[in-house]
Amino acid sequence: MENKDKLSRAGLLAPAAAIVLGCALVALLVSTFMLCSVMIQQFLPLILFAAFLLLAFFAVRMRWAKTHVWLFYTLCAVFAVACGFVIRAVF
Amino acid sequence: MESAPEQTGQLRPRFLHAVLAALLMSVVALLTWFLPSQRAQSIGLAILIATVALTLFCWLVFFLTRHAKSGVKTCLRILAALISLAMLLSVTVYTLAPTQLFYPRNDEESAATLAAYPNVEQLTIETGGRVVSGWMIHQAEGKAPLVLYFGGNGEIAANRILYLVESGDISAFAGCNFAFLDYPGYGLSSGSPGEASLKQMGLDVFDALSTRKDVDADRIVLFGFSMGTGVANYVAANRTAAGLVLFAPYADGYDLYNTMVPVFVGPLRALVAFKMESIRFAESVQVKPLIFSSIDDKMVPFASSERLANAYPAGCEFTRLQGLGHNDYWKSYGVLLHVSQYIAEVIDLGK
Repeated sequence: MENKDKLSRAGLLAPAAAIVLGCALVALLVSTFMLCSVMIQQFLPLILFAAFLLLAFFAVRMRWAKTHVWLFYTLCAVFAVACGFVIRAVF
Repeated sequence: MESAPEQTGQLRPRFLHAVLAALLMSVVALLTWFLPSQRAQSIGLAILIATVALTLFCWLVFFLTRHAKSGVKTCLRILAALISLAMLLSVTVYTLAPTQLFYPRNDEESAATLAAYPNVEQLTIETGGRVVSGWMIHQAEGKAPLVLYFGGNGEIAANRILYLVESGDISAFAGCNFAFLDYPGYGLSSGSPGEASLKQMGLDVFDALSTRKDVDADRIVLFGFSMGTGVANYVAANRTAAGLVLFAPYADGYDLYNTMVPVFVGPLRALVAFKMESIRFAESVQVKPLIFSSIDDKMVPFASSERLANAYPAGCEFTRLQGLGHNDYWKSYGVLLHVSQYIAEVIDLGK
């Protein structure tokens, strides 16, 4: 029973995070539009989202990604930080 | 045939996981790009804090209503999304707009050229850990009147002073010393530009210069252009100046924001970080200012200057110009002549 409640609490974090991260992406899109003058930089949030969505769709098919969900998201975050540094170096 | 419904059932959570992972990666990558950047750091930090706080808020709302009916849950999710969007956009606008108002930079070339002029002095004022740097042109011997200039958001002291010296326009201020110190973050001045730092810098500069041996503290004329008119007004309201000259002044920061995007009305005024309410400072200004505003100025609306002009208790000398763009005030011979006459009158050069 306790385990079920724990799972329910963790399961509710995903929709909450998805909603807020979606809004954060919109906010970042507004920021890049105002701060950058190059079109590719202005649309970078959308470009990144499309690229990462494609990547993630294939990644979630892997068995370990289903069994170790937290590890999967942690690796996603680490990969994203690395991408952020690459973007910073490029622009 | 039997496996089809099972595949569809697995596809949905897999797709949702992929969307969540993609959102997480996009936001983290962009924040990693934003946070070390000097210009976007405050925006990145504000979005990061708001995202964490709103995720916790949404999770708490979902958790507390986990036993509610399906319709209620859907409504709550829509409401949570709307609140999150409104909050994140508000935070973004609040931190983003000031970056569109200021353009801090340095001009080492102009500074190096200026250093060669014998009557030009580089100034460095240190107060309370803050460093304000700028330049002063000496045009008179001994204790002389001073024109203290506060420039526009794109101006830096070395550049403007060099222009005045090379063009000969400095002769409009004959008999006076002329000083222009850079805003925080501009030139060699420390800090970052913002309403509070600009106001503080204005008072620091006035106080420091008025104690100099070569400055007659009773004959300091404040001079502001565009963004600097707010600072000049603030200093004039809090210190005793001999005169006040304003090129393209604005009544308050709301007018400047609405020139960029005309949405800052009603409750949205709370999103304006740079309020700089010159119209309120004007109520405490004792001198009668000289104001120039052009109906063809696209940056500072003429109506805003006019509104400010009506707020001075001692009245003002308001000159309505035509055909001058925002950066053309300094180029107009007629305007400079008028300024010269006003300054000569308020500091009583004959004395």
